[in-house]
Amino acid sequence: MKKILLALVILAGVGSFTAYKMWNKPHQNVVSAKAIVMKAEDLLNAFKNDETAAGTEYINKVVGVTGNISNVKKEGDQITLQIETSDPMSNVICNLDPSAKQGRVAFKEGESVQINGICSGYLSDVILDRCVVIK
Amino acid sequence: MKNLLRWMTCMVLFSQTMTAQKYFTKVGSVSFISASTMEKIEANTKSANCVLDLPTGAVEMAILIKSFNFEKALMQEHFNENYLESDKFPKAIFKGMISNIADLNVSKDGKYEGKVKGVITIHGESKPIETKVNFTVSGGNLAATATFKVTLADFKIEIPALVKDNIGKTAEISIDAKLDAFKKPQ
Repeated sequence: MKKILLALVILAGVGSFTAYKMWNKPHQNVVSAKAIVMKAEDLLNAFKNDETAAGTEYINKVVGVTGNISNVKKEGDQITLQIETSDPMSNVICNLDPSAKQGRVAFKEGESVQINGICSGYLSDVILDRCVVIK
Repeated sequence: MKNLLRWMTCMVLFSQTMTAQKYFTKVGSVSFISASTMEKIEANTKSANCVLDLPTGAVEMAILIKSFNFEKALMQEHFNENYLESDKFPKAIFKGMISNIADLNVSKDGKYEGKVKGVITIHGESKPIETKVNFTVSGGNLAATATFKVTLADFKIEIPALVKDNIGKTAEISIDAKLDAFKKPQ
């Protein structure tokens, strides 16, 4: 009887611990994950050519884009950088993660960067969220 | 003759500045709150596309469901996989018209209230919707905000019986977009 009780208590303990862990499961770590690194241009073209195929390949994955900043927007603690492509109407939009430790917070238009983030998909631009500036 | 030519050039330039008025943003903010007695669920995205055509009042907005950020990763996962099925329905779209667009004067600072009517598509389901948009014009900048409620059942978003009491039946959606005048890239 005692043994069954003990087993139940342990089970309940393990159960609630797992539930707690799951509830507080962290977001995918953009910094330590292995990113698919590519040019902003190539990422955009992949979505333009075949949105579904590019979707399965990149959406929800950590993607690192390289290229030049074409636009910087700051609103409160949210910084949004647009990475230029050869198409003047479409860019890669990177929403920097305000809660992550960023290497820096000052950006200039025209400078070359690499930014890792989680690809959310394609509207008129490719969108990366929870971004971290790599260099 | 020369005067006439000058006058015509003036008219052409003037009419261009009058009609070539598309306002847009790619980084509009959309957030939603769904509250029940048990918990409050909220999320936001900063990547909404929005285009407003000034002479006609036509307005279009699109967001990626996957770009919604939640505080809890688990909530975000459930939202995408179980409720909004964002693999199947990646976008939410609104298309509509602002009926009283003539009231909006972008060259005069002030607050304007627009009446917008259109169709919103979420989770593959379309519903007509009518709401108010608050425009603020200041120094040539145009900002728009709107808040409205949607009922989850209208969009066939099913909540399992087990968690029915934890999740609100409606969601309040807030939109905040700063629109830039569209310039043709050179």
